[in-house]
Amino acid sequence: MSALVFACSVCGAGQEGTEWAYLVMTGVVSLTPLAMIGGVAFWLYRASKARDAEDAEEAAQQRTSTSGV
Amino acid sequence: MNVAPADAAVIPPTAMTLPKPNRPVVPSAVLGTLIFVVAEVMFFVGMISAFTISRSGAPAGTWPVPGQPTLPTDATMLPTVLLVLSGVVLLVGQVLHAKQKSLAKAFVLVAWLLGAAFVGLQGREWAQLLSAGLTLTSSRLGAFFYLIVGMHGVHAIGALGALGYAAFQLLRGSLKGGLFFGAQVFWYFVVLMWPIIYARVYF
Repeated sequence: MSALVFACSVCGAGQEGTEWAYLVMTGVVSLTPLAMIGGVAFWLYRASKARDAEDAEEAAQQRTSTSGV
Repeated sequence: MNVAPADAAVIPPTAMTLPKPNRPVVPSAVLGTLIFVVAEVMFFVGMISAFTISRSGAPAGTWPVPGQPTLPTDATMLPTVLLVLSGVVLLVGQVLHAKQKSLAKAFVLVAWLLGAAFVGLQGREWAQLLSAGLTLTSSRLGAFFYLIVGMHGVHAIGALGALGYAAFQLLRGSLKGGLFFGAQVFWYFVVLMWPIIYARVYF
């Protein structure tokens, strides 16, 4: 192989090792954003639930104090 | 003038009867940093993907190119440990922030210093590699190395700036929770991304 080929990042395409790397990296690049967006959405959902629970508890305490009980 | 009983009905409701304004689920600084971090993770994943495919296609004995230096895996272990330690120390500082503010200040400062030591040691490593002949244009390894590690270094410097600003505000006693948490998210991204880069690029 000539020295020029070493400078080209895709000249090795078609080799067995490269095909495996393409396959694995396609999976990684495809799944990583889905996992991250899913993770952030789940975290926001849990944070929202926790906030609603705090608000409900606070409102219940306020009702108790204003009713004079 | 006294308010007549008939006028009492038009008195605006007090703050007690007004609905409470919506509290944000997470501080805007945290959400903004998270969106930024998600984008930056994909930036690094893309570069590591290109590196992996390029390396797997390299003919035997050409990675690294003969006559060029290999990457200093052993010497980079120390900055790696310092950076991971910095993340752990910052995590402890975060836990302490709610309870013991004075101790939390010390932990945040130590975390910052460990991060600064990482950047300094990486800079020294670059100088040694450049003098040994590994440059951005000398080989594909050199190009990928300086691009990936260099971009991580840029992020580390940016995160150090954010963390330093948060530490300064903490020392002044005017630190807001959102700013501190946002700077932490940025720093944890830098800390967690590095072992992946180290394992993938150096070995």
